[in-house]
Amino acid sequence: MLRTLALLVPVWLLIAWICTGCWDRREIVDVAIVMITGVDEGQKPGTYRVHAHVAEPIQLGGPGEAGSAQTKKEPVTHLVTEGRNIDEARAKAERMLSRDIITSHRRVYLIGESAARKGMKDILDQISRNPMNRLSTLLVIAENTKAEKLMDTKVPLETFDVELFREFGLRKMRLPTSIKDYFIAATTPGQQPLAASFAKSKENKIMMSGIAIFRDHKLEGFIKGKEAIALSGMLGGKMGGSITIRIPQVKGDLSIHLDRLQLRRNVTILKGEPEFTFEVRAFGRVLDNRTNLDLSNPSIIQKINKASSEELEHTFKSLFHRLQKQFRADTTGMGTMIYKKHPGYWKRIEKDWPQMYPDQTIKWQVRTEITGVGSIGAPLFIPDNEVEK
Amino acid sequence: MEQFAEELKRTLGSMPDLIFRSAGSSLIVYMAGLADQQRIEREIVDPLTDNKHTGPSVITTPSVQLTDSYQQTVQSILSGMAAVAMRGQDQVLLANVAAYPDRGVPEPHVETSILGPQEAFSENLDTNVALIRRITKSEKLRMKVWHYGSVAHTEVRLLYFDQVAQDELVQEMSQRLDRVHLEDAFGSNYIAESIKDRPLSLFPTVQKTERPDVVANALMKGKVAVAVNNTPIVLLFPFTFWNAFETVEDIYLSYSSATFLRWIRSVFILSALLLPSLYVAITTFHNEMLPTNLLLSIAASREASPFPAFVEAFIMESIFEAMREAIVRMPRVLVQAVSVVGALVIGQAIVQAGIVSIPMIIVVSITGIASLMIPHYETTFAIRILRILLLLMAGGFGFFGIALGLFFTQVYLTGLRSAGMPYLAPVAPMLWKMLKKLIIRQPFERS
Repeated sequence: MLRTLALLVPVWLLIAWICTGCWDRREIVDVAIVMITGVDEGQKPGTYRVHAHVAEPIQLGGPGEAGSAQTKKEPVTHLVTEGRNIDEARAKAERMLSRDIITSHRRVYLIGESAARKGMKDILDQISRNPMNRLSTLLVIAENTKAEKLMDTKVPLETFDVELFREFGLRKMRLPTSIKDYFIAATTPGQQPLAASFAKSKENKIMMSGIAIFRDHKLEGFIKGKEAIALSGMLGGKMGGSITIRIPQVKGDLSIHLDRLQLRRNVTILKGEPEFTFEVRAFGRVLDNRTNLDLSNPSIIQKINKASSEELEHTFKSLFHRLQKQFRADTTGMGTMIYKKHPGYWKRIEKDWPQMYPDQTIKWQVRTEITGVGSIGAPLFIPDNEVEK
Repeated sequence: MEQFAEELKRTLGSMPDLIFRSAGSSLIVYMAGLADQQRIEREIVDPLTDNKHTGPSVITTPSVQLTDSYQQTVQSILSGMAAVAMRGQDQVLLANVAAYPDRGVPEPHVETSILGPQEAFSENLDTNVALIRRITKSEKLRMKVWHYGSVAHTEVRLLYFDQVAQDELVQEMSQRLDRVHLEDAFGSNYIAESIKDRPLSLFPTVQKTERPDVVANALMKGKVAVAVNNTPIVLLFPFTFWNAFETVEDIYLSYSSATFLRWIRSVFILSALLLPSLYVAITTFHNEMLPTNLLLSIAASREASPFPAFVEAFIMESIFEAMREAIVRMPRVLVQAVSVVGALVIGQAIVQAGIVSIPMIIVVSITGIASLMIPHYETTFAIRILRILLLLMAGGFGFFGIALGLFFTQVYLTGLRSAGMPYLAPVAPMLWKMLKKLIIRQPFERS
């Protein structure tokens, strides 16, 4: 009896497997992979316009071909829908495609400037609640254009334009602002989130234009140029920029490429008021020498150090001026510093912090160290007697 | 004596190879082909015809025996001895002049090795045991003998090293060999099935080898060997799961090479088991796990293919298994031609016709190569069958199915025993000292 039952078990398993086992099987050919989503304001006020790129694998070369070089057409399909909220737009998009939309490979979420200025709150929940989401999706702002226009631009060197946004965030800037980072920054007391921003250059190419600053989930503005270099260096990213310095009584100027910053921040409470001291050690290399100086001379390097420290301090001060007075957003986490070091004090001033923040002063101590001058000391094209040693 | 001849003719029939030779006043009976005729002439016939005195002492054959049992005489003639019936004697003299047609010492063709000895067993039991003795000149080697079958009368010997092999093991194996009742025991597999722990199990619990150095090595480690006449395969007990990962080459290579090969082998055996199931599970149920670029490449190839991933896997696996078996069975001269046809048909035509996608071909090829890496021939069958079962589970339930399948396999393996030893030792139960021998090939101790 037991023997018969034992022999019947495989039969039952087979039946279960055949009838019910494959219920959530989904072949790759029945799936539409969304690569990037862009959100803008819709034509009617209060609506959103959602633009998605869906990958078309068949353009990438099917079986038997060794990758033809004729991909004139970008291997994506464009889907544009409008709705009162993101989910409604998504539902409409589902009705336009023969395959199931999966967003688990969506790596960049692009938000247009006007939509970001109106407020991010309504956009954010749908991204994270969907079980097919990826918290490592990068959040990126399109400056001065609609997200749609940015996404339609063809990107050089890459098959998908998602790659451009991702490579910038991960490799070049090293300040990837994924959704996870955004949430962490938004929920840490005393810190506001930020995101990378891209704009369209005059030649119709996508360019990374700066850093977008948020306050209370609304886009406040952008930090650009030298200040963006300083800000990304402060927050641990790659700086990726040069500053130009002049040495007093020397004709011409030099370009210093800053490699990294070592930042030590300190806050003390004196008479009920916080006092911030920031110590910065910057490391850089001279990339372009438009003076006659001989850079192999250590005393000249000292002068360059001093000049660049002054320049950097100037940049930092203007950065914080903009952050504090213009945007009133505590992006660098000064409130978090108080929260971590003096939690009792923070509890008292927590509610007042947004008003206290613009009035804070920071004592800067900036030191620059030039760690390299390239392969040559003095410019090789100037005869020896004209070089200043 | 004439009665004797008549009796023999009646028992054995008037066979053309049953030779009756009279020498002097004696009658010599032997089987042509089994007995060495030259020796009979030289050692038996000549002395008998020369000498005036006849008697057993005249014969110069080294091993002789006197018997008065008719059955024994018949058996001896059939085993190649010459029976000499002398006038006036009650007893028959049996002279051992056996010389079987035999292959000598052949080269191994299943367990080949690059740097080791190139000897293998042949069908002659005495030669095989002699090879083992030659390698281990140890006085500790002991043998126990059994004979089975009234038709084949096969001799089976149990070899072990006294005081090296555990007494319980020897006892256990002896008892099992005692209990074997076989009418005809052709080949060691019959014996193996009768004394194996679980003859119906998927996994092999006995090691079959055709190399004397492997047997000698095993005996020195405390295992027991069962040698069967007429089979070039010797059985070794006990056999754990991890023995299937070791090749004979391990002891002939340097320490680092052997360890490196062992690790690669383990990785590939694992992939031989799991790769098709993983591929089907990931592309069908869990495509979030693939990096996006890989997913798009796979999707690009799959666009043209009409079958779902699971069916593709099944088709390709069946074709590969069929090809593998066909190559083993076909005459050697055809192998080259057929493999070319196979490669063309499967590789080019199927893919270009768009019936099966390229990633599937890659997966099946890697799996095929990996399964050819398994050193122990019988384990390959276990792995292949399990692979198909896991494929079924993966196609239906994804990762959950694979996990379930592996779980049940694990439970099964843990309960399996080989000659009393747990199949997964030293991993389960954990024997720490032996674990080190498993992971690396121990460097030999320098004396």
